[in-house]
Amino acid sequence: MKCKEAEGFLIPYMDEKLAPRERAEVDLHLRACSSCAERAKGFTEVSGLLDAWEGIEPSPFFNARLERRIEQDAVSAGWLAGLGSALRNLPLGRPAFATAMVAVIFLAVVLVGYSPSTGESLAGREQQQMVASMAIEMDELVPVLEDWELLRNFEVLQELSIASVSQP
Amino acid sequence: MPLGELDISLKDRNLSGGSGFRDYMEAVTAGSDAEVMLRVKGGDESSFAYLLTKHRDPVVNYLYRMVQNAAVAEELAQEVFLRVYRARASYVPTAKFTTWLYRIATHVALNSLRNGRHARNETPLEELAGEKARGVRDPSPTVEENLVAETRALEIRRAVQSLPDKQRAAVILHKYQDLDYGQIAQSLECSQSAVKSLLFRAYETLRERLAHMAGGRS
Ligand SMILES: [Zn+2]
Repeated sequence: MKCKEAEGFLIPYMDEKLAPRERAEVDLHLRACSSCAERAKGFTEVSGLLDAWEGIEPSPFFNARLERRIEQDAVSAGWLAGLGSALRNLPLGRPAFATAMVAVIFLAVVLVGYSPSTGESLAGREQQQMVASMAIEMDELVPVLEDWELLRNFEVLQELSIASVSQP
Repeated sequence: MPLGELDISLKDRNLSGGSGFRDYMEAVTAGSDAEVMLRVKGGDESSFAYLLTKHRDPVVNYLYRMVQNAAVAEELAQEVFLRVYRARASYVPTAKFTTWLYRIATHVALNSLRNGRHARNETPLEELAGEKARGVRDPSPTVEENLVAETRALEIRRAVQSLPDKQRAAVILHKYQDLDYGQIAQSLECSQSAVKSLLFRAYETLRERLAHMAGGRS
């Protein structure tokens, strides 16, 4: 056995996971090669040092916090499901709805951009109030859409496809 | 859901001794957390409480050793169990439950480290001392012994922290979570030979960094 090959066995050697024949070969190499023997000894020493690193206790509120988060999750999931079906049931289709929203934003931007800065006429003020109220409505809508996106992204399987981990 | 009252609810089940409890205990004694997770999928919330009780501390400690910050670790562990709960409906037991759990935990930990959601730099010494105190078992060490032990622990933690994220995950899953090479490979989404290579490189680095501590003490 060469050093390179022996190196590949040193971790399972330390773990005592080698088959008897492989172990005997590594033992043979370690008796002949001081550098690999030193490395094997070092690995065992490192493992011993790592034993000294003690763990922590989770906070006593861990379960209660998780319970609360699961409940919040269920509430927002139900609420979002409601929102989702409400959006689907709108007379406009989803693409049409999105287009309409973009049109509203565009209109608001145009109105803000072109409203006469010196014009103190009643019409001008009404226009600005209308734009302001539309902006508030959009402000309320944007976080809703962001939440929707956030929760969609939390779908664990979308990110991980962990349910399909195959047996080793 | 009575997560906080898990012990009580288990005791109640134990006392009731009905057939539901027998089924539950069969799934548990069959040694398969995957079966318990299938019960969660079926709507049994107390099975989720069982899994949480069994795996909470190991998962918190895995994340703690990964990010080396107790508060962040606990936050990440919350996210892990929340993801487990959210995934219950689509759960398919094609791997050991533990492997699946640590794959989620590893994903959460590596994401957190990548996004730098907590200070990447060394944890303040006071915090380390405080966290250490929670883990101290020996009731009567002298002040000097405590100081020496804390300094050693700090050096070990810094050495592990210096490892690249994936090597660190491999070392912790191998050393503290007791996963076999196949499980570590699935958790890290790589091959078993890649796991052995990660471990070899990590142990080489740790051997160099901790050489001055080795041999002398133990
Ligand atoms: Zn050699």
